[in-house]
Amino acid sequence: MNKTIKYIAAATAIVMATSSCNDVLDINDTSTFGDLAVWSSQDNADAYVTAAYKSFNDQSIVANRDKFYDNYSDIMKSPYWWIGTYNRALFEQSRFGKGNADLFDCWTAVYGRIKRTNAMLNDLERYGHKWGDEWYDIRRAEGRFCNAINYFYLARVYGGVVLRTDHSGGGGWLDDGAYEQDRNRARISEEATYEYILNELKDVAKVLPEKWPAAWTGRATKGMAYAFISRIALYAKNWELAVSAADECAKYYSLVPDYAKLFDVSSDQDNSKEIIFGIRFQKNVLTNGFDTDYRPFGDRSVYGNQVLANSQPTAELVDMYEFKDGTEFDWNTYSTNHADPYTDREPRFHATVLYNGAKWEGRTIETFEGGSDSFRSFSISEDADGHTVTGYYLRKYLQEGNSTFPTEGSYNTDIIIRYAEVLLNKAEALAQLNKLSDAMEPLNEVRRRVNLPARTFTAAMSLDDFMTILRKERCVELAGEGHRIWDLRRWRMAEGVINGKNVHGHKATRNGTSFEYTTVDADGGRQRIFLPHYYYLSLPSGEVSQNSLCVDNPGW
Amino acid sequence: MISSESFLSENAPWIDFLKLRASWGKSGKDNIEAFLYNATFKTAQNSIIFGDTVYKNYYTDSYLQRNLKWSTTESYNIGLDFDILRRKFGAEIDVFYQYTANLLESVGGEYAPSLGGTHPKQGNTGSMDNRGIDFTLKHQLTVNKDFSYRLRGTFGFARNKVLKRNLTPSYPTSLQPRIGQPLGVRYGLKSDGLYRTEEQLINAPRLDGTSWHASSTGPRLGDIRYVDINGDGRINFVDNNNEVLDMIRIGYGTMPEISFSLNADFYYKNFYLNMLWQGVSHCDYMLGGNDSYKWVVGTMLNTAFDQNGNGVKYVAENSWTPENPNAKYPRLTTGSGGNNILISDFWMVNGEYLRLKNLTFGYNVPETVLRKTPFTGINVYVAGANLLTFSHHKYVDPETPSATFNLYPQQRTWTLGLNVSF
Repeated sequence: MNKTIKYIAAATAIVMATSSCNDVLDINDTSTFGDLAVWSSQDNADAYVTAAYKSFNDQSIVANRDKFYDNYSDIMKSPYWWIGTYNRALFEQSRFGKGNADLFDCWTAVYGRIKRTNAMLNDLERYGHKWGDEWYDIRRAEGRFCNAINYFYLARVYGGVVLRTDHSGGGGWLDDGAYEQDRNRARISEEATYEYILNELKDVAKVLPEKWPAAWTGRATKGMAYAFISRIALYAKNWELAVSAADECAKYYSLVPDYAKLFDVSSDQDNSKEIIFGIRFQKNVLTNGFDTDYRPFGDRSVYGNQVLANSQPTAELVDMYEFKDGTEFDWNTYSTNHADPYTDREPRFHATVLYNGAKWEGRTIETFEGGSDSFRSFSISEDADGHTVTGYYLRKYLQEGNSTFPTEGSYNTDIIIRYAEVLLNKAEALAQLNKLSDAMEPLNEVRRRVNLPARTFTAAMSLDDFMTILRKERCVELAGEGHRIWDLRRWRMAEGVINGKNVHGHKATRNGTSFEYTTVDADGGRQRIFLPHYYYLSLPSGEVSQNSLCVDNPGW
Repeated sequence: MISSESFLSENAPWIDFLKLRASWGKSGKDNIEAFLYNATFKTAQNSIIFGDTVYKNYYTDSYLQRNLKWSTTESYNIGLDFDILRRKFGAEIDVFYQYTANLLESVGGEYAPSLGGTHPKQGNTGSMDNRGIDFTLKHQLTVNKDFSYRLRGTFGFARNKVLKRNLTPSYPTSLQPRIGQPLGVRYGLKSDGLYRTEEQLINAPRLDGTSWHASSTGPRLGDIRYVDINGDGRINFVDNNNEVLDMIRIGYGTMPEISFSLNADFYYKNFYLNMLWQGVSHCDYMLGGNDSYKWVVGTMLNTAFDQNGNGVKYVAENSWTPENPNAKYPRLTTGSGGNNILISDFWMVNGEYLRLKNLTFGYNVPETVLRKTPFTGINVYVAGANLLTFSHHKYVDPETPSATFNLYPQQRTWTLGLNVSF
């Protein structure tokens, strides 16, 4: 009897001891699609974690026709007054104002993404440990990677940011407004912002995998983090870091042989070793409207579709492309060695620009008066309606042969960052470190791919000389990929290139079997405006009024 | 237990029992909506592509309420229990103080966009305290072998105070808690009877605000006369910035601060009489259907023929007419709304009452008689409930004050009983 009681006592003690560690009181809500379901499997959790990458779609120049930033620069031109606000922002001083960053306004949207990702990171800490440290660490690094880039998107428009992370809130908690003291938070300086972004990227680069399994290719990798470091370090003028990050990238990426195929998904992006990070699309399922938005006017009669030709290369850009032997182009002298101004130009020109006489889907582009893609002068009052106002159409990212685009959409990958840019970043950083001779090598690597002769370093070459070469190389290599205005802004050259200037086109006139080209104003007689305070655009008024510690940028 | 100490039992033998109590406690309160911390996720099909696979994404566009916690209450209590003079007199006295922090409240307001566009809907932002005293006095006396009685009276007083709360900038309502004031007390306009003479109408303050309660012609004879607290010549609750103007505290809340009872038992030979009196004080209620906003909702008790319904006779007969200028209630109107239905102390009734809740008078048949019967006990009694009520309004039950009659009222009952046991 005594023994039995002892057993019962022991058994009771065990039951109590185990049940006290049990989670029987932590009941989960099964009535809604909530945390329990999301964190029930790795696949489900990844469907939540990878939502952080959607912020890249917001900034995609391919997927958003109002974010084709090259249209707000000297190298591309939108013929429209009503698609995006490129022309209005260039011509009307009232477009940028207090509380209004016009086409660059991204504060509220980006912070929406930052907040979601911070909440995801917070949830990850709560639920994500059950699949092991490695699984957890990588996903945490992915979230931090996405938010570092989100802060970069803010910094390049506004300068210093209000830093909100998954631990910067009251009591080290998620910074989501749960605590009164979090509602007012001062901006950190621009310098500190870039330092934060770069430190985050350096940190996550240590954790991110070199490679994902095939089914997950495209999620953040070490190389991806280093590629962004090489870009953003230029904004921070941290030249050493830009160089070392580019060198890290070289371990994982290289240039593909064919520049044109790089932008064509049907050529498998030339089986891309070059694309470091891209937003992918899929026919019929997840598409963009690029063909509809950017195809040349003549395609209207082919497809019976209102293609828009929303971005058109300018004379300024076109004239930068060399001949394929490396000689500079000059309207006054080209005819001595070349039958027409375009045919003999380097491969990147043909991959980027549709010009009068270009072969396009089995037809010839005709920009001359009476041609199928005819020129029309830019005018604010009368819409160009799909015609070219510069004499050129954009070719890059168009899907030649995608005959079902009117119904099934376009699905070229939007390249967010690729290795050629990293090489040019490295070249620029080396030059800024006064290693001009070394800087030539990455620049020439980019040129070699398109069979252009190497630039040679001479003792007489100055940093300015080199930067002139580099700037031109960036223009022709990266045209149509949205870099130009950001480069002009970080070089503080936007005033010089934009303010008081206008862009031009080349109007073709048929003269028997040959053509005459005349340079015309593509801005309808207007002068562009870029004022010094545009380098730091104004924050949304809600931020300044609801966040008492937040001070708007000067000049607004 | 001081009475167990020898120094007391030796020096004060008239003390039968003496106990001093002090306690401190901390407790959490979790009767809040379940799973507030949980998120409801949405699914975006075909959202993102990795490799050659199109994946869905889960996302939530609502605020993730992750850090809510229970409110905590700290309680301090000091008590004294004693019985003296052979338990002829006794008392239990308690004084308490409670401090409750992290009260869950809805929060709102404008947030900076850098906080991401979704905001907390609730927070542990409130705190309040509560203090009071409870005591029970006991007295029993056996006068002689035939007559004895026992009295037991209780009294309780508690007053709370809102210490911290998230003040939303919305319209201050009649019951909105205000810092430094007890929870649930009533705010509204102060009334000063009716306009009964033409002289009173001269320069009478005009109602401000929406057409809902503004009268274009100003007050008329028979209207409720409101006091212009801030003297600006107009009657208004708040200004455009929600600064409170003529709205003042007009009464207590529905919850009484004071409650008391008396339980009395009398025994005379085999007769017994048992009474329970109970009552409350420091509470008020409105004769309106909804007393939380700035106007009262018409009910039978404040508006005759409301909603084309019945007219309570005493309201109808006591409403102001030119022939009945000294009436108690304002003039009857055909329109709804208007001057006379604003939240004011006019429609407020003092909720205190005293009620004879139970009365039992009975007789136990003595054992000497029982021995001749097969029964072991016979008891006859007559009992009544809710026999007497002293209150301020005849047609509302003060125990569950409701002017809309959505509760079944207390009944007065008489019971005649016979208990026989074998």
